Amino acid sequence: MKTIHDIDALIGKYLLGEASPEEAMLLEDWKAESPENERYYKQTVAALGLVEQSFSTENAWQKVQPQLAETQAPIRTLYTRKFYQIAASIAVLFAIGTFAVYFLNQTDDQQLYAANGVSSKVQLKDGTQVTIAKNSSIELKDGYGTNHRHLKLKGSGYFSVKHSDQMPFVIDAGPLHIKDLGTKFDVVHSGDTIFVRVDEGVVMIYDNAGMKITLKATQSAYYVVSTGEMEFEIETNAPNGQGKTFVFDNQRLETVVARLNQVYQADIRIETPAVKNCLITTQFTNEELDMVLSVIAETLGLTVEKQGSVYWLKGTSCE
Amino acid sequence: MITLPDEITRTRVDEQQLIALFVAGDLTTFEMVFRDYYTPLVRYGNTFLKDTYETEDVVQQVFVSLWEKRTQLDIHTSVRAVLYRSVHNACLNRLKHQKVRRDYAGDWKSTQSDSEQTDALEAAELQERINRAIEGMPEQCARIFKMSRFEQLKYQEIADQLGLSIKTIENQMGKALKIIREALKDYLPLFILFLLQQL
Repeated sequence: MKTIHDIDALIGKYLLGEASPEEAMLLEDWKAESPENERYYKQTVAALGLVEQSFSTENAWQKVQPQLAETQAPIRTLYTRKFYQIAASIAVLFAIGTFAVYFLNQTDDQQLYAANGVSSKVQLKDGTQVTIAKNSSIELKDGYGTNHRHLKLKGSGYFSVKHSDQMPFVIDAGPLHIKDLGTKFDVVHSGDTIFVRVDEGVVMIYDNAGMKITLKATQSAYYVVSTGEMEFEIETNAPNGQGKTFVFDNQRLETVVARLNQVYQADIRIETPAVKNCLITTQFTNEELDMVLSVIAETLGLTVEKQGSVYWLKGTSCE
Repeated sequence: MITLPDEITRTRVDEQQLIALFVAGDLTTFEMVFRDYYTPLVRYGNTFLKDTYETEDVVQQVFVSLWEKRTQLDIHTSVRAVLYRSVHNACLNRLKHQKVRRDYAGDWKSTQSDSEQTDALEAAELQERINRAIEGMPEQCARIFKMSRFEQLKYQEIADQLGLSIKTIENQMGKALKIIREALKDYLPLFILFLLQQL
């Protein structure tokens, strides 16, 4: 199951026409999980003063169906569970048929490229060039280059990808997915950290928990996979070394504070233990520490007090 | 609405079967997919177009065009993902065209259609309660909420105007919704009951 950190923010985004298709699906899934969720959603719709109009799927189907060319005799089956079971078994047979043919055609394809002692450069059949770092490997999933362009990366590699809208290039690096949107980029996996740097074009990285971010040329990101908790930041490699951007994606306040203390060489402390686990999603570029803290305080409903060199974050609970 | 049992839609393997049947032009599968996703797709599209009638038209066109192009489709994610993506793109295109047309006609009428709001007394009372809840919000939160709801600015526009990140806007809007829900928690269930009776 996917975790959603801030369901109100997601519903808000959706209802205000700001949601991506992925976010819309995430919300639908969440709604379908329980009647309580559905009710919660409906109440939020009303809280925004919106009303969902009703309409008829049946009427819509009556309109659409005649427009479908090459149709068989119209199907007016009663949709029962049994019907789906039949449909499912037909589907299984069909699938077995396709896969049999499919595997027979696959014999020549190399599926695993590994670089042991030294790094090695390979060109995949879709034109993608990969420099695989030593002791790393890439594994092409079945149908690579014909049906999809998904591959698994163990370790590190540098990728120069020929972009295709029809067939996006996606790397699975453990829990992190990296999707090319037309690019040259670097992936370095060491220990608990996955580092992605983009030299040209754009990539999207996302994980199974719903985190998603787009990186452009000259940007890079660290993704740290610790026990359950996710830590995330972006550093922009501007030519003059300036331009640090930090992105916090649903991180605990305690984590964020630790990070800020390190970056700004500051002494920020959280007064109330209750707010340590407040989640924050935000982004800063070249901000003064005072500014950063006031944004955080504003978002979480906290106050900032400076005593000597110590900043105290105070509050009673996460709002 | 009819929903597919989990074993068909939710797992990856079965998704491949669904894709295979969809691409092969199996009308039963197509109808199944249509009935399953028509409602959520119209709801989603309507968040952009704010006109149910027009959104229905767009979603129907998306289905017809997917059917026509099914053999050229290369579905590597899921049928559902392709549908959502198509509806998203079609709606944004439609908005772009609307804007071009409005610019030419010099007609700046709000895209917010009247049908979105109920004109009943209950709706007036709801609005009243929402306004009171907004007054109780922290200043920044209320400002962002008003810019989004009443000035109908996009998140990006609000972020630019206030010099904040778009994520902060998302956060603040989530927070605003939380505050309104909380303030109206006794009233909302009644209001929804009222809506159901109107159908």
